[in-house]
Amino acid sequence: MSSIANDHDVINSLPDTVLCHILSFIPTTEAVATSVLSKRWTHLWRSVPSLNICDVNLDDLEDYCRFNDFVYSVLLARNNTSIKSSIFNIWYDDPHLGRLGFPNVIKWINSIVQRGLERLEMCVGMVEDNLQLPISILSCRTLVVLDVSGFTVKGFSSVRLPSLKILRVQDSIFLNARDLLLLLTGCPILEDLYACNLQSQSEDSLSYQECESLSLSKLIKAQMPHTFCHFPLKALRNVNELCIEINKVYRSFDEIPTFHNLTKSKLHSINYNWNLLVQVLNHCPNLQHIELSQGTDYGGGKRDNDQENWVDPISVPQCISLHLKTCTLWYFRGQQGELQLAKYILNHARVLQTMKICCRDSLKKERELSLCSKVSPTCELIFHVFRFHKEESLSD
Amino acid sequence: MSKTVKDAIETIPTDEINSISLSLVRSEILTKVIEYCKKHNSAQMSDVDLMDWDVEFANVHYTTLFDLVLSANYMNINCLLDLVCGKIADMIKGKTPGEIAKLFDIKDVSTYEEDN
Repeated sequence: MSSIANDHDVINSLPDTVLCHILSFIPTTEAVATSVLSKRWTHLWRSVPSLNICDVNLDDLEDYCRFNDFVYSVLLARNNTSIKSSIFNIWYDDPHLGRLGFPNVIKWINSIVQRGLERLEMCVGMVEDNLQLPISILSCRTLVVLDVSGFTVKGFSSVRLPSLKILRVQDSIFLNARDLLLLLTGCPILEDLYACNLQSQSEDSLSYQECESLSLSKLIKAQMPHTFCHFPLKALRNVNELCIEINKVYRSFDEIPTFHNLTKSKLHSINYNWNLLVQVLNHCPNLQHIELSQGTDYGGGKRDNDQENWVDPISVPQCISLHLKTCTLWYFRGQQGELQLAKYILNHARVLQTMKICCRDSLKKERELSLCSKVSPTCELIFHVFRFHKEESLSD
Repeated sequence: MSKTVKDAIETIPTDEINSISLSLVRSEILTKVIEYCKKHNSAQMSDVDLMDWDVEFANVHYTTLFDLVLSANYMNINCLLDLVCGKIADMIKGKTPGEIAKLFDIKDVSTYEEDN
């Protein structure tokens, strides 16, 4: 086993465990197909520690029956090797097929979460409606990585994910903000959170006790773009990296924690709430890279407070004077407060390397900003103009 | 990074360690493995740059990939094992069994019709 002397049939010099590990990265249909490669490969697929149901698009009853059959056959024919990782990527183009088929998916999930599953990626959708996330996933003790999208997440009362380090939830619906919090409370060692476009059916805010109850002490990275429900900033206080719709998730009675480890941040949906922005900056003493957007990162969202004026803070936030290296202002419109903010940063950020201003049309105020004094000798001011497609509209 | 090396260090008494036997790893491959470990242990590169570097690193002839897989498996370096296995998997993905057999020069391709 020391080296591969010649090119001939070298793949067969790899041990079974290694071949199975390689096969665990490909769709299960293809892994099963390798059984015809040679005698050695006939039964290898039965020990592959993954179940990858990829790119399945069902719009026809015959296809659906064949697919259903295939998955059950694989689960039955496999040996006792536990399934460590699984992908379910299924789209039901016919809601009738979806209602018929999804209970089977739930059964498959229920069987694999009980036997040592560590990574799960699920994107199972149906035309006309969201499917409900199988709740057995929420008490899988061995799960380390969970990536789900396009579900309604409800019908659970407790979450126990003691091994979960990476959580990605996208394009999903929760009943209320409390349920999102309940999900996160069950992930005590979570390190990486990506919660994109999560909608809450209720507009209720969380209570003080509920906000206090969530502590994600191991969390390093939190990205929550397009998630607008009430969320306790205090739970995110240890992160290094943060992306959040700040004026939407914050309530005036919330505590803003000091983000000691935060070096990189994207604050969206500021909606000209300069007071809040300054407060947040005052609580990020070590911030080095910042991106600010009055609306969401697609330029959308209400921007109705544009009469608000910027008022220079009493003392310069520590991050601006000591640490800020890059600053990007997105969807800049040249509104008075935006201009004053840009000038304030240029005037006070002593180690600033780049100030990038992204605007839709070329800015009349470009000259005014270019002439503004920059306290940092190495600061480069960049204007980036981009054009939208004609069909795209910004909601005002 | 290598669990095999870590275990060896932990089990052999310190004053007896002169060298750790890695007789099953050829020297050119060990050089590449060390290069990988050094790169991943230095905090210099950003996540994105490191991913790009990994892609470049794994962009080698499949016989080298197999050597790397065996070494990573023997030395118990999980992230390298995943990287290289993933790369080999990419080479297999989307190909018919006939194409896979041709690519890796597999002999004794069965000719029976049915899948399991």
